[in-house]
Amino acid sequence: MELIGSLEEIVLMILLNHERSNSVDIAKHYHDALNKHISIPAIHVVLKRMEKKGWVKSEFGEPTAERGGRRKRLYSATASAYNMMTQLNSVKSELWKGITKPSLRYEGL
Amino acid sequence: MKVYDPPAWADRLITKFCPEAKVEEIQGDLHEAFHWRCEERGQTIAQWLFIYETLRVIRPDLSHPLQNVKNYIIMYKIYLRTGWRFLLKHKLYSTLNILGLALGISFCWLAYLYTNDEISYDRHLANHEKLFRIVADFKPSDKTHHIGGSSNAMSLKYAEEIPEIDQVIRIKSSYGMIKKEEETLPQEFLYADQELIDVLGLFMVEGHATSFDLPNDLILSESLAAKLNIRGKAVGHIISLSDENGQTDFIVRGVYEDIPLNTSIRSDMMVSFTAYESASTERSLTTWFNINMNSLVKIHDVASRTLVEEKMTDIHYKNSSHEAETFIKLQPVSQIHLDDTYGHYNGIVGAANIDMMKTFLIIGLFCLIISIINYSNFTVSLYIHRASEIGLRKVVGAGRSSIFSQLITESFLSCILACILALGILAILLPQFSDFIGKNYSLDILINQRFLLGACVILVLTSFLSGAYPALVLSRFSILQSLKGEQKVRSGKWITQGLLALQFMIATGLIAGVITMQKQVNHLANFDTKIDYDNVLMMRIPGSEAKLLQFVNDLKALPEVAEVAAISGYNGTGIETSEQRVEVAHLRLEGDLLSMLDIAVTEGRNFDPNLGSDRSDKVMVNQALVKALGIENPIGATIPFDYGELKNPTIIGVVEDYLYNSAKTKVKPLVIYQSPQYQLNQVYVKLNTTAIFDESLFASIWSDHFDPFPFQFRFLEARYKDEFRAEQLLINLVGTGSAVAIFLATIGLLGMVGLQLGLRLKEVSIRKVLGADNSSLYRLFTSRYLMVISLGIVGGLASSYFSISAWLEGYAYRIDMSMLIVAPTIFIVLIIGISTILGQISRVLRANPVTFLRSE
Repeated sequence: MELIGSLEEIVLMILLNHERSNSVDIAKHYHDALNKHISIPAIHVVLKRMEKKGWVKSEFGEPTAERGGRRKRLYSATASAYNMMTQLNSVKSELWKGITKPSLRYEGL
Repeated sequence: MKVYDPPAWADRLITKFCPEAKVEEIQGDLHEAFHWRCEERGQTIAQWLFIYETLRVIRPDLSHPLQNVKNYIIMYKIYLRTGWRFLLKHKLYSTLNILGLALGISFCWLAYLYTNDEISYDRHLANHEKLFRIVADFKPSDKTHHIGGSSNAMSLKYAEEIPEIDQVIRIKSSYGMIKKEEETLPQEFLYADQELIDVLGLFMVEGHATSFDLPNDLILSESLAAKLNIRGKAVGHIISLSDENGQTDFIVRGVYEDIPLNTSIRSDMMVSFTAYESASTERSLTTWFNINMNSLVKIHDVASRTLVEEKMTDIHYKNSSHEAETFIKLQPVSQIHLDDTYGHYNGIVGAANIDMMKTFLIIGLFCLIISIINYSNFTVSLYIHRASEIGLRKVVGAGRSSIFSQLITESFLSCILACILALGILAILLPQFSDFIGKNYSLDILINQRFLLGACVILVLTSFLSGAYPALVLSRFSILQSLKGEQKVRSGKWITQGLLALQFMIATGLIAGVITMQKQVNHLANFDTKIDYDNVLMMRIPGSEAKLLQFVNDLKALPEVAEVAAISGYNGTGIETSEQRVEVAHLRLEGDLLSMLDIAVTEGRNFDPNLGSDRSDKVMVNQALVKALGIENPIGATIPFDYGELKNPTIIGVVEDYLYNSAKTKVKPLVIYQSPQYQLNQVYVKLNTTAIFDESLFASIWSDHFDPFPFQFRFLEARYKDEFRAEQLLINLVGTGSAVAIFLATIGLLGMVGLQLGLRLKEVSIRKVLGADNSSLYRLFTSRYLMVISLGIVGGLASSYFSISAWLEGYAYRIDMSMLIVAPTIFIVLIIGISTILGQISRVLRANPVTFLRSE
């Protein structure tokens, strides 16, 4: 299984939730979900990397005025990404099960 | 709500650096994000974030900077290819252009090389900015004497009493003969303190620097060791040095790597200063102002320089017996070579020839300017062949700036070719050049960071300067006119002709300079010195006076010799009267020098060998002295001359102002005496007119008295002519320079006339068909260029007038800038100019008019 970075994971999950988004949409969702700002080029880099791994695919959308007449590139997650994420999540929940009575051990939290 | 735009410059940055396939997405996204943030967080933050993100885009995993540069490379490759084709198409003009540029560039390189070398003197020494030489400004009268030296007493006292001084290093030059098997080698050497090894950063190949402090210690350079065949086994070797006082043995303590040539203090052999101390009298070592050596001072902190100077001056006043106003100063070691004020002797290698350096720079620049003008003029005149190309480029969408950069690229191409050619020229010229200026340059001096940097600067500047004007003119062509073939250069004509005139101005100036210099030197060489030099030779005697007199006696016995006289050389002192102080030269004489050299006695009488009193308190003076002191009846008058035992002597005769020094300065007042106040050290011999000079005969008598010193002599006439060697060098240089300059200007004229006539071939043909005769056509086409050349001549004469007059000012006996200089200058320039023009015109006129007319 190919390794996935944490930012990649979040972006991929956003894409699984919202198909056909561009990087600005992703940034907005990122902000809504985590209440943190993220720079657009950082998303570009992540998207480009994931496109190479075959987890996302892209298509051109319609040009809009606020983009100065430029077309959007819209990204969607692929089937392999979906499979990978389900697999990853089951691994994670398996691991999480192993943590017994967390409240006892980390009482101070 | 107002819609804002992101900063435009950041936007452009994205287009520059982003690969084209990605620009649309990334730029669009950034814009979208900008508008979103404007609403969410305000315009300012959005703008800053936009800039920040733009900069973030420029990273290797998002954009490939090289991908875009690649397009530029392709474009410039095409520019270069077009330029190359254009060069090939006009082979004659390209060759002239590139040749001219190459000549100009190689002259400039030589000038740069030379200047760079002279400036580099002593700057390689570690801590050179803290290193100074002690000098003195001594003011016994109105005139300040700049004394480049110090005494042993001064050096020691300063080192002891001034805490800011780290070290004082004494050096003194000397001379001796080394015996090597059968031969004796004359060798100059330095007495030096041990610290000099550190200051010069000498690297010891053999032996140690620490054992150089005893009177018998000697170190020498690798090359001298090789010359003496003691490389590798030098340490412990005994070297015998002999001078007039006898022979001394020294032990070689070490061998150092040869000192770089750009060092002012440089010698192949050094002897411990203690040797000098032990050989000198107590008196000469302790006399305060007995200036006979140089001292280097290393101070602790550069800032304390003036303080040290003040302290040194104070100490001087406390110790010196001289009342006169004196300033002891520090001369930075890096200035010693370039600044001639304090002279260069006693261990300091000769000065830079600043005149030569300046002239070289000026000529180099002039040649370059002329060839740059040639390039500009040729390219502009060839415009007609480029017009349609440029028109088409513009139709396809090239802007003015891209046409401009294309033409600059082309000039860069020409300049690179010229540089390669210039390297070849340099390789040929360098040996002669270094011979000429008395240096030792070889080609590997070119592989030097500073030279390469300078060469690049010259290359870039030349290509820009030569390309800028044509590029400006051509990039302004209108599309329609150039495609129709109707484009004319309108404003350019004046500039072109102005530049042509400028070329001739420079050439004229240089030629006028050469002629003036030659005339001035001829004037000095044929100057009435009031001395008869014929058949007189002089020798400097290395031995004592007793030996000298024996030698003179032996010479007198020779049948070839007509007369012999011995003198002390011309030394300087001053006469103090109640009102003034007069600088005078004085000369001790033994024998009848005056009649030997045919020097006229205007009043009174010559020394009488039979009168004993003439040998004590009688003197002869020259007319200049009589005038300077304002004596009405000189014969029998006493003068307040005071030198050694000779006090207030009586004048018995007045001689004409014969030229005893160089003709570059006025004849100074002179006192001649016979009383023995100064050691005799020169012998003058006049040969019989019928005698054939036999050097070996004199040499054998010489070796009877002065072995092992080699027999050396000069004929007075040759010695006098030698005075002007520096001038002659300068003349040769300016002569070569002006030849190159006028050659380049002629190339320019040739090309210009050819090109402009080429555009008017049809006009000429029609005129001929309609019956114009040749002479009227000649007149028609010559007159305009003649105007330009005349303008150049007038300008050149006017502008050179000042610099030539300033140069002449330096000579006491000089010529004026008269018609004798102006006329030949005009003649030379006009002849060259007119013959070039006529040659080009006759080529056109001789052609059959049909060839040019049938094509329409």
